[in-house]
Amino acid sequence: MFDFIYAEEEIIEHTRTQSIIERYPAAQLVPCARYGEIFNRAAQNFRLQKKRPALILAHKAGNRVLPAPAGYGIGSEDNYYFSHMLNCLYDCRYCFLQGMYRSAHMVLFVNYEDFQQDISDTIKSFNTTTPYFFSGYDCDSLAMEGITNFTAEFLPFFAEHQQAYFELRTKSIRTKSLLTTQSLSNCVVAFSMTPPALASEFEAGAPPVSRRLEAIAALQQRGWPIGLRFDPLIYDRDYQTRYRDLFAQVFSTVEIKNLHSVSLGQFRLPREVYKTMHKLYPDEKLLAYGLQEKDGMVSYHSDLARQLHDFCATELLKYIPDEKFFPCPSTTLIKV
Amino acid sequence: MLCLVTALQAEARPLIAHYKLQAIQGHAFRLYTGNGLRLIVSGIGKVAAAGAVAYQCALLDNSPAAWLNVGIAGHANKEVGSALLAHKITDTTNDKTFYPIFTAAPACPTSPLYTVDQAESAYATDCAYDMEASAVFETAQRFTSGELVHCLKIISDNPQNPIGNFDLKKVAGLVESQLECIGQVAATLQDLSQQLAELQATPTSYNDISGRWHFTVTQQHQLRGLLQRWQTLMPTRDIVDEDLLNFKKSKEVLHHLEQQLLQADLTLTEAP
Ligand code: SF4
Repeated sequence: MFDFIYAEEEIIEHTRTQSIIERYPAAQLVPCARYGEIFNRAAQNFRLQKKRPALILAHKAGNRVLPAPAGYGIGSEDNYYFSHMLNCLYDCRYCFLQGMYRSAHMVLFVNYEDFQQDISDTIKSFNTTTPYFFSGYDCDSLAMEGITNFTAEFLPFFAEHQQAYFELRTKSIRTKSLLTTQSLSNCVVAFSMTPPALASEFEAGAPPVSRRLEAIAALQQRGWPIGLRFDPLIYDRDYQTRYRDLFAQVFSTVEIKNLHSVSLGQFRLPREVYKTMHKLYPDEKLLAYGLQEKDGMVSYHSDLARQLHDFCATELLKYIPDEKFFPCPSTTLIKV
Repeated sequence: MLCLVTALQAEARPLIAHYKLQAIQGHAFRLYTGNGLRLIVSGIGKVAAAGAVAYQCALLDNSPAAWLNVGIAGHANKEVGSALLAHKITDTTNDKTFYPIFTAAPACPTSPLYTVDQAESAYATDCAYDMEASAVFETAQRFTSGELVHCLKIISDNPQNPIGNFDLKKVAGLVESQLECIGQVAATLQDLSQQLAELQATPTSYNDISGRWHFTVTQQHQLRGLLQRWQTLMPTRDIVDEDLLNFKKSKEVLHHLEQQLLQADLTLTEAP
């Protein structure tokens, strides 16, 4: 899978590093001082690198737990995210990671114990409220599970921290570790969903929607709280049919009793991120239609955004109770 | 466009013959061209190599070129005649490190490569030694994306066959024996260069429109972006029509294009 594994000298002896290196005996191991020498350097092309990304094993020194961006929440005021990985196995054309990072290599921070310590410290600072911790912000939480062992390490941790919520956000069907574990009421397995034809066009490498639904069916049977993330909402002439059909398909599988939350997300990117993405994919319709810039953010023209959002919200509420629904915050539906 | 860089004429000779390159006269370095390739013979050492890359670059147009440094190197334990692509290049003078980026499975084994100022005879670490690669890499990546720069070395000496005993007449033969491998790396790089050139191509009508109205630098960027989107969304529809030609100001032109784009009929896939 990887031709090259870069590893920071500082963590090369870490057990997690060693077990990953052992998994890929054919990969060339390249020691480095700091992962940024490879990942952050100028003059790189994400699109070209995505053809054959390498794995970078590194140590995350600080800023491990960060406040989540506005609009990321599902019911709590106190939302945090942490990224044990940067970048993703999949290649969604709308993904902000392509415009955010110069490199398409996948970085895995192996010092999970430091993340857990920081999460634990953050939880301690909340006596009365319930903080949420989101794990799939800079990556897909489960796509690399076979290598990262992420859930095996973090589910027991959150089992001991029941006062906090943990969200795995994914398009992956690598759910074996969850299916063989006792479900946790404070761990939401949130699947991103896109109308199937758009998913097969724009979510390269990700399992089709039908397989995601099979994974959901198995998980809900085992008692795992399920989240649904229709994010980003994608506009085209046929959006009504696409989303109506998608919701019908999804709710023929998802049981409301196991449903933790449903959220909508706008297609919305910081200007510089969008500019980089458009440079990488000037020939991409998805990045060419109906977008306007306002206050440093690029999103659908307000009329399109509103139509799309309101239609989806109305349709969704035919299936789910209001209290499980988290529409886009009004601040993201900007008037352009 | 792929630019080959060799230190020695003897390293260049098999490449010139294989790719049927023609000499270009009247330059500060020996230069050859043909078949979408350029070859420059830099001379030995980092200063010469950096100078040659910069010189070659100044002669190219704006389309993104790829760079391949081909040459001989010493190695602590690799057989004479074997080929290696560098995956980590260290300039031993200042410890600067560079990591070539692979977008395809490497065509041959890879190795760390130390670029030294004096020919290495101790072969102190398990890696290759040359005298130009760090300079070629550092200079070339100023002008192009990192994926488009690689260094391919053919082992000429090792502890059993030390550099002191090396017969320079053998250089051409060593390079010649690895022409197939060089060809594979060259083809991958040419392909990447072509892909980048297509992505960076000036959109249709850009020159026409920017010649008719005065656009500020910011507006030129906006125009380019709008025309790219037009090309993507409405590839068969004319951009320059009567409506557009009626506008007096560049601002109006940009606004018009924006509005037209919003009216495009977008379907992202065939049937939903
Ligand atoms: S699955 Fe998520 S993180 Fe991965 S490429 Fe798609 S949008 Fe990005």
